[in-house]
Amino acid sequence: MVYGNREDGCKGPTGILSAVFCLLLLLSFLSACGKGEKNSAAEKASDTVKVDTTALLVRQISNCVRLYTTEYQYHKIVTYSDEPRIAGNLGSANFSIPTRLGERKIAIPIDVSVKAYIDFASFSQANIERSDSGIVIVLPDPQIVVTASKIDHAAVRQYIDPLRSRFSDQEMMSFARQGEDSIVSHMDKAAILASAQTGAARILLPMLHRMGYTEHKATISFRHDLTPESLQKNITVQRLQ
Amino acid sequence: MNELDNRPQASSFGKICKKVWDKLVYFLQFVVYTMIKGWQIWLIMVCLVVAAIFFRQCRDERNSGNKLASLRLEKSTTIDVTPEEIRAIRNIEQWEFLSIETEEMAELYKKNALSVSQLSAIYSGTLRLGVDMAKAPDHWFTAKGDTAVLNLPAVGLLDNHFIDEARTRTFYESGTWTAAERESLYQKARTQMLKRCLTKANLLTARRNSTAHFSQMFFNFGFKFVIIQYGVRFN
Repeated sequence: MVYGNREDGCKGPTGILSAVFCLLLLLSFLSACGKGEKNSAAEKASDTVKVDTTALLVRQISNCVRLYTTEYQYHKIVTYSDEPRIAGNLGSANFSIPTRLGERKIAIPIDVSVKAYIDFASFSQANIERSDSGIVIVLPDPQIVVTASKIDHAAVRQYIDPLRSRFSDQEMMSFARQGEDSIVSHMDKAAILASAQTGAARILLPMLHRMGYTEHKATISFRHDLTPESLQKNITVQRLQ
Repeated sequence: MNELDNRPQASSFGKICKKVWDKLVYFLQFVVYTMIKGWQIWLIMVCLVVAAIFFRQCRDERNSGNKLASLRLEKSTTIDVTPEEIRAIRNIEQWEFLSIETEEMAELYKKNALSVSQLSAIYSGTLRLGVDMAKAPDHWFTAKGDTAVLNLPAVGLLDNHFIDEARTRTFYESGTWTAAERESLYQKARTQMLKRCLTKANLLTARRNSTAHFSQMFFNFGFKFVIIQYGVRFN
């Protein structure tokens, strides 16, 4: 009789737990169904938005007058760790658990060339001040541009779990792009611009000396009211918009 | 008499009260006894309380616009934080007179016994044409009275590295590709860009722009005549 009671007792809570589990599953299912409807609505909305990509394909050939004075070569090993996690929420409680399966890692060495230049497109007589004491040339603000980037394909290393696929070319390029963006955002812009100004003076002063102006009579000058905000504007990154 | 008349009435009401009280006490005893002895009842009650709290939370979440429950596989798409290193700082003296922004689609194709692999990518870059003064002689400029004589190197490509490979868009990829094959794809795109952009016409345009700029610059310095010779190299 005692054993019989225990068996009955075991059946009770198991049944209840099963019922609770089924209820949770049902809720999850209903929730997922709700999201699906939202997604499909969002997809419909996105289908209606047409993006004109014609402008991206137009090649630009432009005349310019730029004096490049400084070149910086940056190197970065871009790393990425793909550790999938199971995340979700139950009511207001959020959770995120590492799966411990299917880990992938990749290291991509990239080299980025950055150059600083003075734009002489608007250079005119207004930039030259002559006086009895000598000549002063006021140059426009230096600019910074990323001229090239190169992935060292031979040095790329991938560590892939047997359960996972290799990194695709698209993923690698996405990581390289992030690496380049990281270099651009962390580079010492003030140092590059100062180097560009020194470089411009180094190029132009000997020319002025040959024109007959002595060392004390020739001056290369820049705008003195450079602020951090205007420095930020001076960085230009060539990329497809 | 009054007392005798009232006595049975009070007695019957009391009996009814006592009966009800006894039933209530018996029921309470039964409930307490059952709850102590039967743990399933406790479990059911706990479950009911938990379910009530859960449904209350769910209702609040629903009202706030969130999902009741969700499960997804999550992975980060951002790279790790790693240091950047300056490999070289170089003083250069390059005058750029023509900038050609271009993109090139290059593809590789290979056929194995069981499968066909294809890789197609769109590279973008900017070819800069101009004068590299590093190739000019030391005295590239001489002033002779009101005439400036300039000996400049030939107009050409300023930098052999002009592709921004990090901006490459992979158009199609199937199969696996080695590092050497990816490098060959890059070189293929580079060669095609050079072939298309480094033309005689573009070089001539750059040279014309160079002449116009140097002339104007030296006119601004007060010279009346400017003589420019191209192709003079540093010995």
